[in-house]
Amino acid sequence: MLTALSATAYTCLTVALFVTEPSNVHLTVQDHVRIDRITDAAVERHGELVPPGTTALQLPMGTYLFRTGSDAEVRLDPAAAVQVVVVPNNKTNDPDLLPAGVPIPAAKGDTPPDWEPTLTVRR
Amino acid sequence: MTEPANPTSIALHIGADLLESPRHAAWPRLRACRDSVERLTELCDAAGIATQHRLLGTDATVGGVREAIADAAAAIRPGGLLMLTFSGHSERAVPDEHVGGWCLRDGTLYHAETALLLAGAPPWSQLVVVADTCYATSFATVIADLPADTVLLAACGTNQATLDYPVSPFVSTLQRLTFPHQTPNPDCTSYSWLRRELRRDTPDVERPDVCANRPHAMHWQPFQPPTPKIE
Repeated sequence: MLTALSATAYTCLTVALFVTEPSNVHLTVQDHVRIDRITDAAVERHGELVPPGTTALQLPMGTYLFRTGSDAEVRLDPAAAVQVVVVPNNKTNDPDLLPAGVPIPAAKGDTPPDWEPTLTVRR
Repeated sequence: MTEPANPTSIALHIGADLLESPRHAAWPRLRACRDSVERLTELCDAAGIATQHRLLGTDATVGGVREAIADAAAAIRPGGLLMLTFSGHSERAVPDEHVGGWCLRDGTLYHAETALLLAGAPPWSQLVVVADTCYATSFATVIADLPADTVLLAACGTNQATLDYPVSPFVSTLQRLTFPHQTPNPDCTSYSWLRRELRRDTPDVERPDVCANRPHAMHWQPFQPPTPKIE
């Protein structure tokens, strides 16, 4: 829960979506969120900014990343082939915590967030 | 690179992608650093800044960067422009200790010290700082008392992080907005305009900012020397 100090706090939740087959995902966020598609060589923005509220997304196969400053929910269609992972806010991207293959970019700062929002995944 | 005898505009680019101090050595090497420096060098070329220096990788030490900033600030003349760019990791402010700093090969150059070095630039010159890093706007806390009018272009807010993508979205957007294809964008007439456009269509968790230590500096033509004051 955000407190009165939240305006000056560093809050960030980083989520990776590993999509192995084209899938439908419903993303609920409280701020404007950019979804990036990540490959070994490049990062491409996927679609328009996601506005606050619930947005249905059709994701082709690939690795996607988004960050938000508030709690978020990912709801997967029953047939969705998606692994949802909260990316640890550290400098090493512990390989044990992430599926092999695509490197998840690290932050260019020295400290983890003061507060990490919560991700809820529903199927 | 050319070195005019009496330069009116100087750029110093720091790309700190190699960190060897005990605290930073385990961090992954940044991928976008050199690309950012390359793009910012091109931007300065397009802006007519003939004298440019780079400190990259092994050369981006605390001592080397200190000396380079001091030399550049001393070399700039009234009516000149000094552009300082940093691409790399940052330390976040620690209350009652420091307001943040830039991570270099062998340690951290804290913002307060960088400001002291920049204070060597004379009044009636203009300083432009480009911070392509996390907590980037925190540098704004140290520019208020600089004698020269100073503009900060920051990749994100004080309490925000940027990710190490292969190409920095902030730097590539900055290049596109100011000198696309190395030619001036006629719409880019002020730092106020640039701020608005840099922030447009950005996520709330990572929003660039442009600020100045004096309000009138926001109305200047980006990356152009100020008009010399005639006494």
